Amino acid sequence: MDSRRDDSAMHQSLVFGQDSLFSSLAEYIKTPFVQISYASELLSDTTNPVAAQTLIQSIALSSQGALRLLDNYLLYQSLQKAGQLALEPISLNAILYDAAHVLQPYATSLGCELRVQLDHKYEPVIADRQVLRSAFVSLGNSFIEAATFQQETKSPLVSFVVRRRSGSLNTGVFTNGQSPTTQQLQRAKALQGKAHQPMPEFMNSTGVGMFIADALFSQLNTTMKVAQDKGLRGLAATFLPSQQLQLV
Amino acid sequence: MSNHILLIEPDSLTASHIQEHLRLRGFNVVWKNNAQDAISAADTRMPNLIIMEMLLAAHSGVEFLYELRSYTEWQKVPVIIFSHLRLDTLNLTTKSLDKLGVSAYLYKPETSLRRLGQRVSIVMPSATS
Repeated sequence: MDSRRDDSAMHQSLVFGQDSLFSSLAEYIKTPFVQISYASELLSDTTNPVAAQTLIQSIALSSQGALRLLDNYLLYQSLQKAGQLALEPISLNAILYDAAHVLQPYATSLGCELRVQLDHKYEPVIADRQVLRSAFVSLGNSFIEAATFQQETKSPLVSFVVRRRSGSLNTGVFTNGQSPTTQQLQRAKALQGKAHQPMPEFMNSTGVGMFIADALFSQLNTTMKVAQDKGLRGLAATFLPSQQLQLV
Repeated sequence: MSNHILLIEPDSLTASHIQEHLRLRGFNVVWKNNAQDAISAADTRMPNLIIMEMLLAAHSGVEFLYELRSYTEWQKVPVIIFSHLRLDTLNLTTKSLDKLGVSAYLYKPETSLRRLGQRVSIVMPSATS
């Protein structure tokens, strides 16, 4: 009886988690759609080919941003339903380069410098490639948005970093701008889906990309935590390198 | 010049689209992405109109409005709210908006740039005549 009640409570908590993530997503997604709508309106009024080209590019970037977010959310939702990960040995270095490559046009359009900082060729970790890649794309997207929104950050920088820390690999996204503290992150998680701005000190949106990243990391049995790296602040998850693969 | 608009919009791309449209209609627009900078900008040059989003970092839009109206010199500056939030999701009535000197409340996802421009021209007729 008790275990049935526990199962029911867990189910309700998962449903609430998905509902609040969906609410954050729905609220957030208005911004790229408004951008597309306004760019289209300006495009229909302009006769200047250079201005038209810029507007077409901005429409493409806004659409790609919205699609990226929807895809990452759908990936999380499908994991919730099927619960199956495609685990394989993965190079974190390759995942971070890939995520940075996906986000580079968005970062450039907002005047944000994007870096990948890897000191070594680290051992592979066992994870699901798509889940890991989507988590870092979502997290990177949120950091680019936040760093470029905070006007006090004159030259916004977002950096993807892997560092070895006592046998594990700390992998995260860091910025020279504001990054949430542990307390702010906890409060934001509690406010997710209820507040329009769960992290007002950090970003003006619902920050849904960060919550999607958090949800995807949790599928990989790791947690996104507040971290620092060489004067930059950010969020990182810890991965254990595969011992067996080190011997190969 | 009576066509000076202070735009408070957190999203840079949306802001650039609004600025471009209003510029083409003959308005001079200064853009700020947060309330604090907007207060400084208004201090430097008194705007003839403020267009603002309610979702601002650190400040809420309502807080900003109360702060703005607490200064004598800015009590009469008209304000258009142009927001991602529907009015009914805020704890504000049309009466309290009137008290805060809000000339119009426009819900961004349902408002074209053209319609925004028309409302601006109604609030600032001298600028376009």
